[in-house]
Amino acid sequence: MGAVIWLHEDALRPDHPVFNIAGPGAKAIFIWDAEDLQSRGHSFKKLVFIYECLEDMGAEIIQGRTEEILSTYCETGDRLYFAETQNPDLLNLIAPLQRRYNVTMVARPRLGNFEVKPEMKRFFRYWNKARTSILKK
Amino acid sequence: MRKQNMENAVEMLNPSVHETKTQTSSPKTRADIVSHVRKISPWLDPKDTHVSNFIGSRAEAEKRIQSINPSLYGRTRNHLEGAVTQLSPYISRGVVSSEKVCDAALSKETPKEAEKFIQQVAWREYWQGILEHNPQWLWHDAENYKTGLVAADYIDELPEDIVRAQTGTASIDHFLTQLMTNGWVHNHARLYLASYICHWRHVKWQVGAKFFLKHLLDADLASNNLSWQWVASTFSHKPYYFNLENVQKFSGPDIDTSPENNVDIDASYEVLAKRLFPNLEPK
Repeated sequence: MGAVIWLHEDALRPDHPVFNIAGPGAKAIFIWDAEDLQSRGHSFKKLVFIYECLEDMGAEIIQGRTEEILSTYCETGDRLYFAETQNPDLLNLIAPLQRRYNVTMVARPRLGNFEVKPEMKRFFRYWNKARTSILKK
Repeated sequence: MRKQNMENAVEMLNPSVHETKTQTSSPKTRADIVSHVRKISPWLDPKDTHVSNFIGSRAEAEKRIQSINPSLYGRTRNHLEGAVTQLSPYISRGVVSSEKVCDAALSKETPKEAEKFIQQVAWREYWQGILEHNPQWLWHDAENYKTGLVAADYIDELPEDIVRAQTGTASIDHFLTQLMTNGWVHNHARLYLASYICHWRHVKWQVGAKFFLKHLLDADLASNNLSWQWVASTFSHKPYYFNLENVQKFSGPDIDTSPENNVDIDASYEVLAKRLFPNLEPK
């Protein structure tokens, strides 16, 4: 049993907490999912930028459908990890796997470990509270 | 053995598109990458050929982090030629963390001097937090428009002259070209563009937000869409609008801000308010 990190465009760095949690030796893959990328309408320049970031971090890029490819890893007992994202398209891609397998979503780090509260409807209501913990150093 | 089985399994699933990159087969130069991405993205419009001058790498991000000048940023950030870092594509795509960028600023100057800079980094965090509590605001109006119009008064398509950067308003065409060719535009210019699209051309903010998401390398769903709502006035108490005098004040000599080539935006705020929001009571 190994660990596989499903990389996506919101967390393209090898020191993201998802790598720590998945542990040493985890295989990081990005799936070049034509149907998904096409539906999101990224421009060519944006795809090039994403590809360069992946290349730079030494990620493995696999062309194909996300669910199919990730399932093959999960079927062999690999544990799947991914970095938290707010992108509903990305969450929809991983949702069927979360229902069938043990998938771990690793929370995105919060700046200054400070959470935005629901009542902070304007920026300065947030900043005035968060300021101290963000400027702590 | 397991690895071999896995590769076979992936191969069997979709043999024609399986691509396992290895150190020996990876494209290396930018030209190689550009041509490779074109090859593996056959759905792209053949006319979509622009490549940004931003290079996707950690080293590029580090270079920008080294050159952060927080207090100069604080004084000049609203100017299109101000000391902005152009780190946003790297933060958004997760190449570097916001925390690391803030730490770099705090290592150079005191918290007081670095505060304006860090505040701007924190906006992204703020929008993400807001969206977390209100996921429906990603594509739905948070509140009604405060423009004297209702959502149904706004159109659902981006006019062709905007897509072609041929609106006839020179400064707007300049920013549109920058957006579509380089995938990055100064924050102030983003506000001008969003305001122009929404309030001059009566395009729904959602349409403009999608247009930005397509082109901006740093497009972050929360920051992008909620900022559009802020400009549109569906997440603020009034619409954001600007005039030529403001563009002139904050732009450099490379942008044509002559009145004759910027007729649509060349007026006082009072005149523009009447023109853009005729249903609103004058204050």
